[in-house]
Amino acid sequence: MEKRTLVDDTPLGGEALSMQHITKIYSNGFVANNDVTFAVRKGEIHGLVGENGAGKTTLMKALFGQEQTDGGRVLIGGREVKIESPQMALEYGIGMVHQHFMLVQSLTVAESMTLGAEPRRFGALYDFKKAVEMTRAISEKYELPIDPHKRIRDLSVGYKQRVEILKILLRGAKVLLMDEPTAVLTPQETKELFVQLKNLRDRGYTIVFISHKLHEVKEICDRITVLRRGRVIGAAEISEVSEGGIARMMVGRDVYLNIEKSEANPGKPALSVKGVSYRDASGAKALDNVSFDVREGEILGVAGVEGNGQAELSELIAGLLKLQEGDITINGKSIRDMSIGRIRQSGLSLIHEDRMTYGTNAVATVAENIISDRRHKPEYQSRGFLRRKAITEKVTALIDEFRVKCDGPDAETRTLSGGNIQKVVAAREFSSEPKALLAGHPTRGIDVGASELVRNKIVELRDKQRTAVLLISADLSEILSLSDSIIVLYNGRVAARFPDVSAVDETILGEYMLGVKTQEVQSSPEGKDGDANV
Amino acid sequence: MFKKAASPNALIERRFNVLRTAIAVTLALVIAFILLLSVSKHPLDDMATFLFGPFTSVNRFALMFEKVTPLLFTGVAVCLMYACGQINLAAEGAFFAGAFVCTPIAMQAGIAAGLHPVLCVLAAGCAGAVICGIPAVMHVKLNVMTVVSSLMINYVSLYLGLYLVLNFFRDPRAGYEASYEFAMSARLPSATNMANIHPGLLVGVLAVIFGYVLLYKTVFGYNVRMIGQNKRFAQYSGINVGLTVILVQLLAGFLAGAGGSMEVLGMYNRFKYTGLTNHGWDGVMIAVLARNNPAYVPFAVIFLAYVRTAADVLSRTSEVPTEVVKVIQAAVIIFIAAESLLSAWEHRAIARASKARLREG
Ligand SMILES: Nc1ncnc2c1ncn2[C@@H]1O[C@H](COP(=O)(O)OP(=O)(O)OP(=O)(O)O)[C@@H](O)[C@H]1O
Ligand SMILES: [Mg+2]
Repeated sequence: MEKRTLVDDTPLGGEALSMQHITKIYSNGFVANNDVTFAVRKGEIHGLVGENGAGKTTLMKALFGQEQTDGGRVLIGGREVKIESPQMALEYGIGMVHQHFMLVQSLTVAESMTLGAEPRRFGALYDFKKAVEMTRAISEKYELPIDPHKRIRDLSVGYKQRVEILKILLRGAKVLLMDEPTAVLTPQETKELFVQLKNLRDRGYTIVFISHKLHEVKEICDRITVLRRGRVIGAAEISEVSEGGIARMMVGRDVYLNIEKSEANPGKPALSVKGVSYRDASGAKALDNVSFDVREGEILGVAGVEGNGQAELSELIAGLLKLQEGDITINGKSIRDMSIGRIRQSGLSLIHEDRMTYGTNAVATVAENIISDRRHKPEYQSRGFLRRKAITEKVTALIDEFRVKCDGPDAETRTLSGGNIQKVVAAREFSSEPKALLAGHPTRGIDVGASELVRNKIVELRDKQRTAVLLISADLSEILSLSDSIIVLYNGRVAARFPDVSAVDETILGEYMLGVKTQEVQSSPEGKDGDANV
Repeated sequence: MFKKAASPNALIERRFNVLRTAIAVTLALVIAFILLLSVSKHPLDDMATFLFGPFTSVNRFALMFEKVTPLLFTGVAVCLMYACGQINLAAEGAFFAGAFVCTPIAMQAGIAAGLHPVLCVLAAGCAGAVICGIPAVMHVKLNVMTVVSSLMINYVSLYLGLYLVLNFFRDPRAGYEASYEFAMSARLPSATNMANIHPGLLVGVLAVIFGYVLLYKTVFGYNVRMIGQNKRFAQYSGINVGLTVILVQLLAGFLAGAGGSMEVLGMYNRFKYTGLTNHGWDGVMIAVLARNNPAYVPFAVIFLAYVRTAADVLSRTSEVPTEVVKVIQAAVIIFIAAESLLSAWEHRAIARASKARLREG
């Protein structure tokens, strides 16, 4: 294909592509990219960093032909091109893995891989066999094993991402735009991804890597470009900048990351899980006799590789799934026969890990999203009528408090950046005076500064309102820095309990998370000290 | 619930919304003219008749409003159901049910004049609620697809109605298939002798206001819209999805059924329908034009009524077939429903404005 050779013909280290003076204005008039000039060398991993709403996703979407720009030009291999659609971007050898995946849940891996470029038999029939073959071939070629017959909905997030990567490789992409690929991964999965990315780089592929985790950027990138409020602040060789330096460029001032956390002073159990087992629709045991208590004023961290029962656990507690075996109580009351609404009224807050499906209604306004759990409270309605003024006031205050970047309470949530959508969810769930807070990946996709804010808010809830917090996170450093005690989920079972966090570190947790070690199962959460088994 | 802030962009947006509609109508009219050119000997005259037909006499103008009343009810009803994400097509059956259920009540003599129509309308509303409610309950309890069940229930309503009326309330002296005459005390009097502009029109306007306020100002309406936009989000937020989905369809059915009774009590002296009346289907069309917002229903209804009246005038005063009008209607709906029309243009205008602001600092 003639178009693709533009990247191919570029010598290693030469400018594979450059975007010059790009301006992007959204239909509400918001200037998301303002005269951005951005260049990537062939065969490098280029970090694109910036605060939430800085315009990273927008810039990548423009390059991928998903958003049309309002000025500026794109050069590939030194030749000016017009990329009007993702199809065209792929023809030029540019592929994108999105922040919010774009896979159809009911399709098989092979079908998803070939979607949009289906192999045909007799010119019309879909050739599934061929699709499976193609999937196998490409996954072997790049040493990224995957089962072509599996359905997307049965894959873990890490594998879903692998499908997205393989998919664009199959379409011939030589430049990979990766929008926060590690936000949804566990540290182990991230390590694997990095091996894969380096592998690709060594084969002459070019990668743009977006992340809020600066240590990752530091580890894997060759160069970086920093965006702030839609403008380029600068580009640098990674060797020339420190993590702190990058943060300073992003925010415009020094960033100190510290969580002010005193010793916990736990009270009586507020959220209790007793002998809960759960089989999913396919009959597989997702949870196996899980028991623990979260006490008032305590943060219990749940460590574990994603897909070991965390999702089922939180959906059971929230009432989104029906209890099968065992019981869950909030403040001593069983939730077995409660509706989701009742569970929420009895004091449960939930940050769902899937912010786009459960956490928010993308086509509703920010205000509408924030009042969803408290719409019936007297502050927000009287006699069934919404109190518009009061709502606007409260929501405006929350937007300020959580530093949500948006046009105000009436902005459509869809128009916010990924991290800001997450902040909307946090703003709602933290402000409902919860007795128990179920925080699933609360800082996923949130930038350094705002993560600090969110984490401090969690500690504040613990101390000021004596909330019992169940923290589920793939980010071990987050678990370790926030939790008062920790349990590890492996294969749907509690593999370890650590009542005292100071006794553990990432390595120890990692061993239990991967099933290398197991503590003997203890029925009481106040069991023996964890480090006795280490 | 919340209108856009009055930013400079909101102004541009509003301008483009108006423009978009104007262009859609113009395009449709151009097509109308082309059609007229091919079927008419006096295309210019006929075009004028079509454009201004309803204004050519007071009588014709009044006739237009006769068409408006029932559509206000079914339009709002469908808006409510669609806003909740329920593709319920039973407004047609509910309207019909309202008409036949009020018939035996309306035939009774000796009920006080003020009370009689109220009783009729209430009974009709309940009948409509049942018709729209059955598919709703079947969906929530048994997970039956609403589109299919609601489509089918229209025929249940139709044949049940015809059976009851023809077997129990048929007036053999009427000379055709119709019920006994309605008591005078039940009929809705007309405000003018040129057309049947009856109190139903006023109630219809109230229904529109009720629908709008309910959907955009109340907690219930908020629940309805959240469910329609993202059901899983609604569930997660603790909204009682099943109950809300059923309630809103009962309510919508009530409106459609009430509309059905007011139509027969205002327009006729007996129940004379022999088939479904199309008011429910029109309601679907209106809801689409109004983008599920009851506040826009009157505009959509008047537009539809205008086109239809114009068509009547045209077919009475020239040899242009009414079929032409159906084509025009379809064309306009396609154009208006195509929201993306002109959006590129709109975007350029907004971008220009933003850049100008950027330069100013
Ligand atoms: N469709 C849209 N309409 C209007 N504004 C939008 C739209 N999409 C994004 N924006 C705005 O553009 C800005 C940049 O968004 P973008 O998604 O590029 O940010 P980002 O740098 O990727 O942030 P994050 O790290 O949170 O993902 C945001 O302030 C956002 O509100
Ligand atoms: Mg983004």
